[in-house]
Amino acid sequence: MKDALLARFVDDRTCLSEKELGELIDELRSDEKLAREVRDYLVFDEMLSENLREDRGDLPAQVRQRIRDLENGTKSRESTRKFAIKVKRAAGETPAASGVWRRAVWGLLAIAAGIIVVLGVLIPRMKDESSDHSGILARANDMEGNATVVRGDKNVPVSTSGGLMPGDSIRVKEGETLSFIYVDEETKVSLEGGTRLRIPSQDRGKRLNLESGRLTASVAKQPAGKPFVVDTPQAEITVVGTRFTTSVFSWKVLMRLEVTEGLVRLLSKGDGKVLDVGAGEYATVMNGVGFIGAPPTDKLPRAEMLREIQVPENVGKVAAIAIEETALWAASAEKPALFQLDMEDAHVLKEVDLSAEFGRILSLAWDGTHLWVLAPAPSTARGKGGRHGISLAAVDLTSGKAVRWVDRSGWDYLRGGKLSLTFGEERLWLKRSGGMIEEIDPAGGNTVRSHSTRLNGGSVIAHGDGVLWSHVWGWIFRVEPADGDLTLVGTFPPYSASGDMVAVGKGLVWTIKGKNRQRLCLMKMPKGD
Amino acid sequence: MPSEQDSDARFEEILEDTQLPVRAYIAGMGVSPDDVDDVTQDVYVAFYKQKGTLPPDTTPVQWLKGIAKNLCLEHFRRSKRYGERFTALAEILEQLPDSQEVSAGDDSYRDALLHCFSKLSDRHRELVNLRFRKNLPAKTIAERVKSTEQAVRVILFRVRKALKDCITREVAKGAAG
Repeated sequence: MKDALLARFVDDRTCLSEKELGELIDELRSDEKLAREVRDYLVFDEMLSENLREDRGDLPAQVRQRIRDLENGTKSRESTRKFAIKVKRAAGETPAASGVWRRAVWGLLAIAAGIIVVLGVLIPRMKDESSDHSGILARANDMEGNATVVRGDKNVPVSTSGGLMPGDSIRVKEGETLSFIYVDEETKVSLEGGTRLRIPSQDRGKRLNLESGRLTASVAKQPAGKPFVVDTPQAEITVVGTRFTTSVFSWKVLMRLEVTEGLVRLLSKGDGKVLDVGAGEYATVMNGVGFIGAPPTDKLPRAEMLREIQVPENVGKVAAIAIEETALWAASAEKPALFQLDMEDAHVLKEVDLSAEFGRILSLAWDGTHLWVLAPAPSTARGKGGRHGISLAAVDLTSGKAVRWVDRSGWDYLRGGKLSLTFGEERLWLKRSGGMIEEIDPAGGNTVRSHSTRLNGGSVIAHGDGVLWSHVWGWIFRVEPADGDLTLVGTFPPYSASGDMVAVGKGLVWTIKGKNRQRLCLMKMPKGD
Repeated sequence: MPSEQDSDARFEEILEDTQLPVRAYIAGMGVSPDDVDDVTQDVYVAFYKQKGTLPPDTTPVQWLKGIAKNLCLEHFRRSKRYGERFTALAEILEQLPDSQEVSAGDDSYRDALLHCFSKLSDRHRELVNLRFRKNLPAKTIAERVKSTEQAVRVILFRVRKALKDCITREVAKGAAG
């Protein structure tokens, strides 16, 4: 088959003629290898969309809305689509395919919200574009290389653009630089290589959208009520008459702001919190986490891998781990079973079947006497109390039966990312949705204290050396339960930590490694200070 | 007999846990990316109507894939454009052995994607951004980058292949240690 035909089909399922589609089907029918290749590409596209697409909807929320509509006898799906398409057409935008808006299945309330949001977004945008050529906002005063401006459908060099206007998108390639000065005041902005910047409407004051890269600005005093704002994917930076430096790392994950003079107000989009950053100070914002005080990521210390062991085949993928003095406990992700493993070579010392009590295990913690299992509330527990939520259970390691139950009811326990359990200071520490951590008395089962932290939904926690550690996406944080602050202390080497983590003291932790989760790593944590 | 609350809790749990493999399965049947979410919603609504019950010895993903198969075929049959052809295509793709793709939600996958994305040239990165991040069609991308629609599709296909190979390599490297 010609690659061109395959390329067209993979990119757009609707672009082939009926004859071409027939030819493709005939080929796939006679060539299983090719059919698998095509199927893999289709699945791969879905994975790319899942990880990259900006307007990807929240499927569980959409399903819940559909169910509410179903139960209320409301059918809003078709009308919502038509409405959305109208709005899209009115804005002059062309979706990737005619069905692009079909994904948006909102209920009646969502329609109302949609009107507000869509108008809120589109009206300024249409106004913005209509006023694109109403006047020059700034002019380049220094540049290396050939930075370009995307203006409407055209891509023009900054040098011949005649000046920068609202609606322009500026691209500075690697190795190039661009500085520009506003025409009506002494505000200077410098962009480094690899930066992408959009100039939106200036109706509410001077505003720049820094998509990625690094921007330095020296900002003159602004009129009252019209502050100078730099908008980034992670945070909104409002300058309060100052000179400042900000960096945005690409991939929408991390942003670092450095202030050299004056005062800057930082709004973290992840958690809606506001922080004032003064001269000589810096702040880092991480997507979904909020503020974290941290040195630059490229200079972050790395955890050191001291040892790794392969778990036996019969354990399968590891869902959770805990330490019992000289042995590791691993919960299988494939069946409700615990395995006591030798720390040297991971051979199985003992296997405990938990199928009588649990369907699957989310996290483990050893309290010095008992192994605690965190799991979705089993049917037996729910049958007694009519609960839905989670259960913590101290299990008898001979029979696999629970000897003590701590139940927590509520939807929140089953939503919002990873649940994680650890033990320290005579308490069980349960990390749940929204970054909330509960300290639970294992004897009474009561919550002694709750802490609201800035932990991301995907993070896990481990208590050790009197410190509460957390990691997410390879970043290691120290958690300050008292105020919920996070300090970024370093990173794990790539693939060395995925999911659960357990501290063993003296700055050491065990982690579950990589995709197949069948290797465990002993890591030396970086020093945070 | 489980209580209504039990069923709801179990449904929520299954919805959160299975949405990625179910989406991938539906995409792998040849459903257009813009229809994948719609069909996936239909799958979970159908499952909800069954009160979230599962036959014994069947995993949620297996059961949901069964529902998804029927709904995908129904989706194609309803299609005004070459419905019969797409139904035939879906039947071929559905009979293939399970794909070994890793989960898109896996941390290692995300790390590998990040790494491989950073290795692309500026031009290829821009194309991927326009196609997957902004969800723009090849025609619009071609206009933006001053190329032809077909050339954009061919380049995107090569970039997909490079990214896919790189991610597979990186994930395997991570898994092997």
